[in-house]
Amino acid sequence: MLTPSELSTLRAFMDCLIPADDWPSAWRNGVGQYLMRQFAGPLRHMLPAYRSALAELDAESVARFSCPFADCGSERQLELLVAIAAGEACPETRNLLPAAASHAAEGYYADPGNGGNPEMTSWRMVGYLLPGEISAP
Amino acid sequence: MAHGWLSLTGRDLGALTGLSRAADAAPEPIQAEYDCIVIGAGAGGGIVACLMAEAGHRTLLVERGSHVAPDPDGGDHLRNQRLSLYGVNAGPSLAENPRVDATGSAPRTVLATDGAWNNNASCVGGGTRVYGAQAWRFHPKDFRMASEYGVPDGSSLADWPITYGDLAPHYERVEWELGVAGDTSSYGYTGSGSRGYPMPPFPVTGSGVPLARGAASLGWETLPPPMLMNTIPYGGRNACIHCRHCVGFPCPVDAKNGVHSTMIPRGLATGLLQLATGAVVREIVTDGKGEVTGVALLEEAYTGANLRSVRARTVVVAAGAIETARLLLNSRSSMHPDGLGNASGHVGRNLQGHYYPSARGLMEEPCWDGVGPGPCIATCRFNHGNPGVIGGAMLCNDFIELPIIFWRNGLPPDVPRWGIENKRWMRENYRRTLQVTGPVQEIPSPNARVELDGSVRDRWGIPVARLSGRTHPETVKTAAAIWERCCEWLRASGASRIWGGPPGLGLSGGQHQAGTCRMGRDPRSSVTDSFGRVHGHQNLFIADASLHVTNGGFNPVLTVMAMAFRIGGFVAAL
Repeated sequence: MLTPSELSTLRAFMDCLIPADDWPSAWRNGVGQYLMRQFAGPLRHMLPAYRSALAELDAESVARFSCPFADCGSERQLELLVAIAAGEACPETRNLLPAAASHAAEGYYADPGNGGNPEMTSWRMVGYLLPGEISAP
Repeated sequence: MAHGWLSLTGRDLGALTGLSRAADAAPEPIQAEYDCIVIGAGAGGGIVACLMAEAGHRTLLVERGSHVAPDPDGGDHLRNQRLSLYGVNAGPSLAENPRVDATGSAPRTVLATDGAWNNNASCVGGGTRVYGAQAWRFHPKDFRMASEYGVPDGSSLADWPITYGDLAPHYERVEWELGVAGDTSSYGYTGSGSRGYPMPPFPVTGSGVPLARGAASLGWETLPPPMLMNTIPYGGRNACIHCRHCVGFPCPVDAKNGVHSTMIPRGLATGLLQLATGAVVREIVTDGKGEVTGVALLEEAYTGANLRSVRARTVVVAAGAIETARLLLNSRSSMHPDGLGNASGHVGRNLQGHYYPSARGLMEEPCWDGVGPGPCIATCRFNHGNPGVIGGAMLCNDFIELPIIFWRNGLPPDVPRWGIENKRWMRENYRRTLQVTGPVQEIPSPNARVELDGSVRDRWGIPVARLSGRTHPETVKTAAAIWERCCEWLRASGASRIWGGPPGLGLSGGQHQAGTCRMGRDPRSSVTDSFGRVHGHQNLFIADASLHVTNGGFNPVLTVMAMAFRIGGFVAAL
């Protein structure tokens, strides 16, 4: 569906939208699995827009930092995304940003049955799941 | 993976629900003739069908949807009645049932995942299968809005042809025969003479504590919202386990009292009621004299057969305010060229639901304790008597919000939608946010309407509903005033910052849809009489919120049910 290179750019992109702190980043909390399932289903129509944005992100990252987006480090990734959100680069990525943020949140905060949020980690993070409420795997 | 967190209650959910058994049974063939056909197995139809069968009438209850079983894992957070991003959990099937949204400049075809479709559940139980189950009686003044306030220019505001007193005994029947938990001691406007409720109210939860304090400091009287849910075992069904998947989902322990768990099983037990799921009524059939003789039914999804006619002495339509109007408009003949009951052109007009101004407040300390279903404190102080506006709303805290719904709807406008700040906000404030909201009584407009679309058809070739127009500007004015009261309550409860805002001018229907076949005394300005009998037809009745002249400043289901008891009793005695 996506090439390995596109996949690593997508991972870096999603981890900018929901970064790690003492709770996992988007990708670590199943957003990648959520997206793969959605791209094969109801978000199939979004795949071209994602592909264009990923290519655009990489091209801009190479132009600015001489390095693909996935490899240029979280500070530079964030710097680039802030510039994009401000309308200073990558118009296709900017257009995608609200939808991508929503997709990241859907994978991160929705039920594990949708492919993301394994072990309901985000539910424990926000307090939706009370301590001791997960049955043993 | 064993992530069924509800199963931690230690209860056998499969044994408790039992609904799948009914769905597995081979369907009984539809007969050529019945005493009565009821179309739609929701709040109104489920009750009328039961009363007809109990009175000895052979009754067919037709439902285009199917049985919906609860999900032992809690449910799909992206496909439910509260967040239908990629599908719905209680019908209808998406691509088969389009509608046309003509509220904007260019009409567009929409599916039930689009808010403009105005979805209510389409399944056995209808909305009551997945509802939040707030069980409010309308206020006496809600039945006489035009007399109380006058009629604003351009609106179709009118009094009901019945009073609160006409409905009071039927409200009481719903409260006891289906089961309502509540407390009438502070139920100001209906307390006297009331039998009370059969079950104690839900407890005040974490979010209710600061709100109770805030209301007290403002001098506002409050009460627990009455709920069609079991707080103790009742009617052979279980008590609520206080889970967090309540509104928008089927109850995992059968503690929610919808018609699917109460009146429909009661009717089926008589042996005189037959429930046909997956069957679509194409039109109501009339004879050469224009009199109703039955329905034309598509039972393809039911038994694999196709279009057939089924005769009945009486036909009752209870398909919800949008589909009921659509069915009447689609029932055309030379005697009824504009559809049944539509000689005066009123079928489909006055579509209304509720405006829901909502405010959220940030508390210093967490106030969320995870005790479902959530609404535990309300005030009826602002249903009427709000200076400068018409009507008002009951206010209360809302159902427990799923984290993804909180992400979409709950964040203040200045919190970024992505990045570490967004995540921090979710982490720190999901449990510190209070929400106060309420159903504002809409001022009806004749231009907010359901029509048939000239070109778009459903999977069975039937012209679909086309929704157009907007509510009356007075509704927006009332909603803005009520939103201020939401904020005032949150401020008094200790909220350090408040956000949200009242809605702008638009069309509303959705889960509270009403008004499209309003009842009245004059056939020139209404569709039915006060018993839901369509003007000019002895044997055609309507029994859903289509009849509502106005929709009250409360969740409307108890009124739909009380009206169904009144109409069902009347029709059964004919």
